[in-house]
Order: sequence, then structure tokens, then C-alpha cells
Amino acid sequence: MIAPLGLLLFVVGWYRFSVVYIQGANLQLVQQNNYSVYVPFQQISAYLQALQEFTYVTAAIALVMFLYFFARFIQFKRTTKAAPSM
Amino acid sequence: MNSLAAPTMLEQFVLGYGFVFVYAIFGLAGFIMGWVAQRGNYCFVNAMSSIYTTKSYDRFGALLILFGISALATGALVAFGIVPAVDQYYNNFFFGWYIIVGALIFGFGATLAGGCNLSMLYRAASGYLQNWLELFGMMVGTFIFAVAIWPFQSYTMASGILSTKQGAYIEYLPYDIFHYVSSWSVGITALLLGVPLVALGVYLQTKTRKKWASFGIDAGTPGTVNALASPITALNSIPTSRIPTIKPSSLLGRIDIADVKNMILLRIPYSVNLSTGLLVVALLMVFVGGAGYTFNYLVITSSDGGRFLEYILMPFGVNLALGTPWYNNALAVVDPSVLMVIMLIVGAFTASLLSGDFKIRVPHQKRRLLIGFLGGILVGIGVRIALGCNIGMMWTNFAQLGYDGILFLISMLGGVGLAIKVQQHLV
Repeated sequence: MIAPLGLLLFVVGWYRFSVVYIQGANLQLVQQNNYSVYVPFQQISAYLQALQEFTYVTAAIALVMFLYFFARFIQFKRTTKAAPSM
Repeated sequence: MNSLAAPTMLEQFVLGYGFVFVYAIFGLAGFIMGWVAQRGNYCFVNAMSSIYTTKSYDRFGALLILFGISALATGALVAFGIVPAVDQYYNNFFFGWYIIVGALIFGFGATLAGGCNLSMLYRAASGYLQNWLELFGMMVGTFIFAVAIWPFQSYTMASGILSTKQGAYIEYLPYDIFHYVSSWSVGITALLLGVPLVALGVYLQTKTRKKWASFGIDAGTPGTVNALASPITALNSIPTSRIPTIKPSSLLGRIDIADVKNMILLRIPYSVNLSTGLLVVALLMVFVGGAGYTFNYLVITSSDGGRFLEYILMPFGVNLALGTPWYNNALAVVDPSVLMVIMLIVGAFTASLLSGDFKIRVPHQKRRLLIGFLGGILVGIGVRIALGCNIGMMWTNFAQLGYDGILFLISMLGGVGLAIKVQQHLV
């Protein structure tokens, strides 16, 4: 049940990491005149835009999975509570 | 199509929707790869180690079919003018001593560690702790390569010492065989490369399944092949309790609506040939979608072995791209393969969770964790020396109609065999 929350944390965390650190590292390369591995701003923006969409979709799937497993857990608890009286 | 002696080196778009679309295609392809590899228990190392351990050629045959269909499909797209030839050969690798040496080290290390680069990721996403350590080991191995080996290797590549000095059309079989690039030279080369691979793969699968049938094993039942080539038993003899009971076998097995329904509902694993077909779809997505924009093939280790270490160090104020060899001139800080690998992990995790396969797995023998880490170091060193792994170099190169993939395959087989011998000796 906890695993979908882990997925949610992972994708949201990865998105935030990309926004803060990957962009920052790329800017550092420009400041140091290293253009061998520098990525043009247009491409970094495209990456972040696509990543944002995937983050939304994956987060939604993770939440749905969490709710599904949570519902099954509640159902299981109710079944085991009812069992002793049968 | 350019038929002059020196083909063009100007890449062209096939789909002009921009980089957001390209990143999205790579992300989706990665999700498909992760999902399919997890459901099909698809591992290149398993496929090769099965030859040595259980004398099974079924999964190895599937690999050959994968390579053959990839060559035929990409070749057809180019031959019919849908994808320009330059987008097929532009990113072709160099050839040199490093392909053979690197593949040998990679095969050896991956077998010890417990999985190739694809299976390492999907098993890590399914909860296998050993494969997480293999991944960390790979990052360490990549760093060791970068500081200790890359300066020497790049010198030999630049100087042409046991190495070609260029990739691209120099490594492109249509150009090498026919000395020019045209629809028919690409088409004929694709047939020459792809048809024998598919035929050999089908032959090996048929031969193996007939052998299994004589033992009463139905290889056509989804899950059967997975049981016989599971990551745990691949290196050991198969317990008889795990061998399913009687059904006659055929190459495709029974075509059973119930099996299709159970596969969709994630109740049973995917068959190896179904997984192969779906992986080819992922390859073709990036081949067409990324053409003209980026390295339009599937790439894993630049990200998980290379960039992930860069990323881990970034919050600590360390930017490897600023001064460390290889990181500062051979690895762009981000590219579409990053999103591909992230979504591969998401796809594999989602598939394992929904199918009930997800579980944190710690090996009974704790030394396997250390072996996984050390094997991962060798994996990292090997793939970087070889300029790529089983996915980004070997499989990709068949789709590129190159010849490095053939040499990588032979060397990797050698490395896997050597590792099997070492493990048997240690056990």
C-alpha cells in the first residue's frame, strides 16, 4: 500500500531535482564556457515540460493505486473482524 | 537517397513536432520497455547464461529474433524512404579493440552481478536489493573508467590505434558492402543481416522447445519459459518441482484466449516472443520520433551509469561535467534517454506492483550483495569501454546496420561463459 506513495515521491522529487539542479548544472557549464556537454535552453525547457506532463500522469496513477490498495486493506480488515463471530 | 562516395552527414527530421514531442516519445518508449521487460522477465544475460547452464537456446533465440527484426524494420523504414538513411548511420559507433574488451568485461560483470542493464533496472524497480547495489556499483565503475581509462581510450580512438577514426557511414554495412548508400543497398543489407538472424533464432527456439516437449514441458505456455530461465535458477540446475506438466510444444505455443486475457490482467508473465515484439515497437518509436533530433535509439547506461552519479553529487555542489574526463566532453548533462530511463523504472515498478510481484528481496546469501556491487563496477567499466551496453551498443547496432553489435555479442557470450565457470568453481 505504501509503495504507490513511494512512486509518487519519486516522480515529484525527480521533477523538482531536474528543475533545481539539472538546470543549475547546465548554467554552470555556460559560465565556465564548457559547451561540449552543455544543453541548449530550448532542449532543457522541452525536457522539463515533457517531464512535468509525465509527473502529473504518474502521480495520478500512483494515487489511484494507493486508493485501490487502501480500499482492499479496509475490506480485508472488515472481513477479518467479522470472521471470529462466524 | 545520396549515392555519392561520401554520404551526407546532415541529419533530417522525420516528425517535426519539436523537442517536447521527442522527450515524450522517449519517455513513453521507456515506460513500455520497463513494463514489458518486467512482465516478460527479459534479460540478455539470462538468455546467454542459459546456453551454458541449462543448454537452453530459447531465450537466446529470442534475442537473435529481436536483433533480426530490428535490422529488418529499421532497414525497411529507410529503404522505403520514411526515415532518411543519414538518421540511421549518423550516430554509428567507432570500431576498435574497446568493443571486444569492453563487451567481455561487461558480460563477465553482468553475470556475476545478476543481470544486464535492462534487467538490472527492472529488477531494481521490482525490489531486488542486489540489483540496486549493481546499479551503484555501475556508477562507481563508470567513474573509474572516466578517470583511469577514458584518457587512454580516447587517445587510441583519435589516433586510430586498433580503432577506426570515425563512425557514422564508415561503420554502416550498406556503405561498407556496396560503397554507396541507396534504397536498394540499405534494403539488401537489412535482408542479409536480418533474415539469417531471425531464421537462426527461430531454429534455436524450435530445437529447444522440441527438446523440452520430449521432457513433457510446454514451452508455449506463458510463464513456462520464465520459470525455466528465472534469475534465481538460471545459474543452478532446475528443481523438478518447478517444471510444469505436459502439453505438446510448438514455436508459438498454444494461442489461447484465456492466456491473452490473463496477460492483460497481469496474472501471468508475457511470453518471450511477445516481449520481443513489444520491445521492437519501443525501438521503432524512438528511431522514427528522435530522427534528426538526437541519438534515435534506445540508450540506458549513459544515464543510469553516467548521469545518475553526476546527479547524485549535484546537491553536494559537485559538478563532474566541469572537470572530470569523459563527463566533461562525452556526456551531455541531460538528453531524451534520461527521461527514457526514468520512465523505464516507473514502468517496471508499476508492472511489478500491479501484478503483485513487487517485494523487497534480500538474497539469502549476503555475499551476493557484495558480488552484485563488484559485478556492477565491472559492468560500469565494461559498458563505457565498449561505448555502450547490450541495449545501447549491441541491440542498437543491429538496428543501425553496423557490425559492432556482432562483435559485442560474441565477446559478451565469452564474458558470460567465463563468469559461469568462475561461479561454478566458487560454488
